[in-house]
Amino acid sequence: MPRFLFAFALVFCVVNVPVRSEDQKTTAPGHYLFAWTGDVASKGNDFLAVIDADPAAPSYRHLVTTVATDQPTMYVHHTEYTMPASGMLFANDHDAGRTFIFDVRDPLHPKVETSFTDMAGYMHPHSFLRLPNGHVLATFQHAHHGRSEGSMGTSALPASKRTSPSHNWCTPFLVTGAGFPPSWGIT
Amino acid sequence: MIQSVPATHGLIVLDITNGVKPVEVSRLKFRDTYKPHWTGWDAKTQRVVVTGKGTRLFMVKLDQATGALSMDNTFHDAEGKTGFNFEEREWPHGWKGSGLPHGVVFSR
Repeated sequence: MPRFLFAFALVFCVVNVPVRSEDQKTTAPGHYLFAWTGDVASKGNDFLAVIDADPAAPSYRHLVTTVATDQPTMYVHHTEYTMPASGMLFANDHDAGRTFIFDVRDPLHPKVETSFTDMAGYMHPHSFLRLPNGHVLATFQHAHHGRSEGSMGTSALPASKRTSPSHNWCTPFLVTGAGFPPSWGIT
Repeated sequence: MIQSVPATHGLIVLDITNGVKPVEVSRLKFRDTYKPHWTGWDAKTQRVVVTGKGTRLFMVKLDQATGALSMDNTFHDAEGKTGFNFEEREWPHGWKGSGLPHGVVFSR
């Protein structure tokens, strides 16, 4: 069976983070890196590390703080590529099938705002792209099956392929407004 | 366009002004054991943050006029080694161990 039939993922969902829009600009001073981090040994939990990225700051290149999640590391993966104006940052653990939204408006005191799992039968989130209206284009790479169950995506993708940083085996299709809690304002 | 290339252990910059004929304008190699993956651009300081298969995060400078890449050696760890070391730390949230960074984004 053609590989694309297995690896059909990339489900596009439009997400609107509740209450906070792109009009609510973050004005925190300083310049920081937010590094979405897992445990190499996969025994600890995923966490967000904040590093001072302001070359003029006394604490430049130093770790500022961290905020831990309750997610044991499986495969800590993508964040958004640029910081959204809302300061509500998406980050996922791909294999756990879970996405976190961090409130990083105050970089020195980041918080886990919420998290979500699969959407409309799809899981394993991969990439996020913030749209001009503040919504998020999210991609999911598999149907709602465990990788070890021989389901779509699984049987076509050996582990070595799956974990390769250069993999690119997704075929997109569009789903909108599926599965999000009403309070999240998904359109 | 900046592209991480794990096979060459580095980054490649392509001039895609002519999309029909992209041209490589520069490349930067990390150490032989490092396979870069994630890149994140910082317009404020004209730098690229890089993570990959390893416990170290690197900062790379980009000359937007020429496309030239160079390692930002001012971004180093306590031992003077370039990059940020995620290896065997006591993290502020109370956990001790080695972190593996992946997605990284700059503040605005």
